[in-house]
Amino acid sequence: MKKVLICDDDDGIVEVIKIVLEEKGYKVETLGSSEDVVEKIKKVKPSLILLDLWMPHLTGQEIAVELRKDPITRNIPIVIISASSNTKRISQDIKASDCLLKPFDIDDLEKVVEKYL
Amino acid sequence: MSLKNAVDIYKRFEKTKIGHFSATFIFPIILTGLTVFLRYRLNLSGMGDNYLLIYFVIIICALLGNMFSGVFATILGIFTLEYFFFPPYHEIFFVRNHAFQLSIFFLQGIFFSWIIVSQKESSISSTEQRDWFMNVMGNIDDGIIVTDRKGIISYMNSTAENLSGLELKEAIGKNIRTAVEFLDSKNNKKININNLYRKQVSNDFSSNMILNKKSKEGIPIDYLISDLKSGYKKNELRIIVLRDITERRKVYEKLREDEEKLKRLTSSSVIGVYVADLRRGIILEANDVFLKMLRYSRKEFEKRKLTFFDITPEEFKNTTRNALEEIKVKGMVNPYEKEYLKKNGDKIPVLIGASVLDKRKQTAIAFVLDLTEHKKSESYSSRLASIVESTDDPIISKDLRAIVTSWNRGAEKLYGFREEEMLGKPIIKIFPKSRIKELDYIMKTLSSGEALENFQTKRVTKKGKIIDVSLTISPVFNKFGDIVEISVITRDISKQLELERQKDEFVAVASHELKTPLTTIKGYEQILKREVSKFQNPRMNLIMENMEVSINKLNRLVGDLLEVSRIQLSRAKFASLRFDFDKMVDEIIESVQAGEKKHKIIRRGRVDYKFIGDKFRFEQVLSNLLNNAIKYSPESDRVIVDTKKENNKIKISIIDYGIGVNETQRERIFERFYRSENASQKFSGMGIGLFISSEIVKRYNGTIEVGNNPDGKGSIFTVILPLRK
Repeated sequence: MKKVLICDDDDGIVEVIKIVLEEKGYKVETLGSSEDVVEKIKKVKPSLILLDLWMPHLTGQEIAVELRKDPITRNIPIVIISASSNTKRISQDIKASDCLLKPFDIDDLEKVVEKYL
Repeated sequence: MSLKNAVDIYKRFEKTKIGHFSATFIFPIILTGLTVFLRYRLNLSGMGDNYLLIYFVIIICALLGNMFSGVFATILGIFTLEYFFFPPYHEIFFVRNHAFQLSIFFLQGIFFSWIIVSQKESSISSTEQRDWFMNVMGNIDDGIIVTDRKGIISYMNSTAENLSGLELKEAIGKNIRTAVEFLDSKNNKKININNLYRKQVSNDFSSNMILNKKSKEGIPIDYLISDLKSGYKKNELRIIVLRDITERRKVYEKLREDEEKLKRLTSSSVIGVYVADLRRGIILEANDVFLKMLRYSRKEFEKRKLTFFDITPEEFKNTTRNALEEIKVKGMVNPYEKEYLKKNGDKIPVLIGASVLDKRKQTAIAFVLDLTEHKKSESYSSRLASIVESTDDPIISKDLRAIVTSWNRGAEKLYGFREEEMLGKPIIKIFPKSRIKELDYIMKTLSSGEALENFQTKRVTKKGKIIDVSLTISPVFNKFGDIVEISVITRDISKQLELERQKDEFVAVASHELKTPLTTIKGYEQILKREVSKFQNPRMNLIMENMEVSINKLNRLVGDLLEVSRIQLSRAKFASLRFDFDKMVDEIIESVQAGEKKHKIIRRGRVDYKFIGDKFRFEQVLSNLLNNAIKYSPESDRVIVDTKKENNKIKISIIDYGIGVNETQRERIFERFYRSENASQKFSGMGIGLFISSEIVKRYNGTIEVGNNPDGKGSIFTVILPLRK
C-alpha cells in the first residue's frame, strides 16, 4: 500500500488530510514539527510527502532541501501545502512536485495525491 | 577742422615768419662786413659808390629778411659810412654836414626797406598764401566755394565737392547754381540760389537743404554767404560756406527724444518726480504721481510750499540731511530707501534718487518710487522664508545644475550637514552610491516642469547612515513661468517603513494564523458535506452549501488583506522572468473556467510575445478581472478576453455583458476599498481586487481603464502594457 506522509505542525489540518486520504484507502503517516523531522521522514520511507512550509523548528523549505540531498529520499514526490501567497514560487524554487494552497478543496487534495501515487 | 581753426593756424604761421633772428641781425652784419671788405679790396672811391654799396646791402637785407633787417642794415650803414668811408676815416665823428647827409640816408634806408618789404610780402602772400589756402581748405570740415561777385565759381574744397556732389573741375567757371541747389524742406521744391547769393551777405549761418547732384538727396546744412575781404581787391570775391549738419541734427533729434522720454517719465504714473530748491529745501515742482503718493492736491501743494523736512518723518530727517550733503558735493544721490509722510501723517516707504538740475540755481530733480507693494511682497517672502527656515521638515532648494541653494534647519537635523556645508555644493552629496543614477531622472523630470510626489528613495547622512526618505520635488517658477529652482521637501520615512514592516509581518502572521484554522474548518466542512450528502437531506445540503460559501468568502478576505498591505507599500517582490504571454492567458482562462459553469470565457486574438515580468502577478490581474466580469454579469453567459499587440504595447480587454460601470464609478473604481453602491448591495467583496490589479499594472508602466462595452450593456476593462526593451 502506498504510504503518504503528512508533515504539518497543525494537528487540525493533519487530521483533516488523514481522514480524507484514509477514506481513499491510502496509508497515512503524520509528523509534526521537530528538529529531527528529516531523520523521521527517512525512517517512514513514504511514497509521497505532503509538506507544510511554515513550521516552528525546521521550515518546509529546509526539510525539502535536506530530502533532495539524500539519494534515498531524492525522488520522493513532495507536495507543498501552505497558506503563503508565495507558495507557488517557493515550490518551484525547492523543486517540489506540486503545491496546494491552504485552505484547499479536498477534491483537489485527492487529485494531487492520486497524481503522484 | 573748422574755418576758425584754419585762421588760427594761419596767424601762427605768420608770426614764425616775422621773428627770424638771423634774418634780422646776422644778415645785415655779414653783408655790411662784406661790403667794407670789398670797398677796400676793389679800392672803390667817391661818395656815390659808397652810398650805392650800402643801399645795395639794405635792399638785399630787406629782400631776404624783413622790415627790421632793412632798418638794422640802414643803421649799420650809417656807422659804416661814418667810420670807414667818411673822412676822417676810422673815427666816429658826426660833423654837421655828415649829420645831414646821414639823416637823409637813414630816412632813405627806411623808406627803401619799407617799399621792398611791402612789395615782397604782397608777392609772397599771393603765391604762398594760395598754396596754404588750398591746403587748409582741402582739410576743412566745412564746404567752401569761392566765386566772383557774379557767382562764377573759381574754387571749391573737397567738402564742398562732397556736399554738392560735383567735382571742382566740373564746377570751375560755372555759375554757383550749378553746384549749389537748395531744397525747400517742406515741399522739396528747388530754390534758386542766385537770388540769395546776390542779396544775402551776412555773418550768421542760415539753415537749408542742399541737393546732392550725385545721390539726388537733400543734405541738411547751415550756410553762410560772405564777401572775401582782401586788401586791395575789395569785394572782388564772394565765398559760400556750407556746413553739413546731419550729425548735429541727429544729436538734436536724440536730445529731443531724451527730453521726450524724460517728459514721459515725469508724467508717467509710476515714478514721482519733483524739482527742489536745494538751498531752501522747498519743492518747486512735482508731478501728479508724487502729489498723489503724498495725498496732496495740486492746489494745496502750490499754496503750502512744502519742504523736504515737511514730508520727512522725524527718524529719517538725518538721512535727508546726509542726502542733501551728498548731492551738494557729488551732484547726485545714489538711490536710497526712506519714508515720506503723507498729508494725513501716514508713512509711505519710497526709493529716492536725485541729481542736480541746475548748479547755478541750486536746483535738483528727484525721482521717487512708491515701495508699499514691494515692501508687502518683501515681507511676505521674508515671512515665508522664516517659516521655511524654522520648520522641522527638511526643505531644500537646488538650482537646475543640482547645486544646493538653500538648506533649512530641518535639513540640518535630518542629514547632519550644516547649512554652510551644503550651500553651493552639489546635492549628490546626500545621495548614496546606489542612488546616484536617480539624479539624472529627477533633473530631467523637473526640467520639463513636472513635479515628483512621494518619491521614495534612500539618502545618506553626514555620518554615513542610509535613511529611507519620501521626497516631494517641485519646480519653482519665476513670474515669467521659467523654472528657476527646484524645491525638495523631504520626509524621513525610516520609522514609517519600519512600522509598516512590522505591520506587514503582523498581517502576514495573522493571515497565516487565520488561514490555518480556516483550512481545518474548510476541510471538516467538506468531509461533513460528503457525509451529509449520503443522507439526501436537502435542508442539510443547503446548510452545508451556505457554510462553504461563507468559508470561501472568509478565506478570500483574509488573502486580500494580506495582499493589499503588501501591494500598497509597493514592496511586493516582483519576479523578472521571461514567459509566454499567450500561454499565461490561456492557463488563467482555463483555471477560471474550471470553477465556472454558467459563463463561457471566449479568447480572441493573440499577442505572440514573450514578456519579461512576474507571471504570477499577471495571472492575478487577469483572474481578478475575469472573476469580476463573471461576478458582475450574473444574467449573462459569456465573457470575452481580447488580446493583441500593437504599437509596442500589449492590449488586453476583458468584455462582459453585465451591470456596467457608470461615469462616477469609473473615476474611483481602482481606489482601495472602493465599492460601487449598486455592487455593494448585491455583491460581496472588499473593493481590493481592482486596486491590486491596477497597482500591479502600474508597476509595469501600464494602464488599466474601464469603459462601456461597445456591444451594448456591460463594461470593458482594458489593460495596456508597454513592451519592455
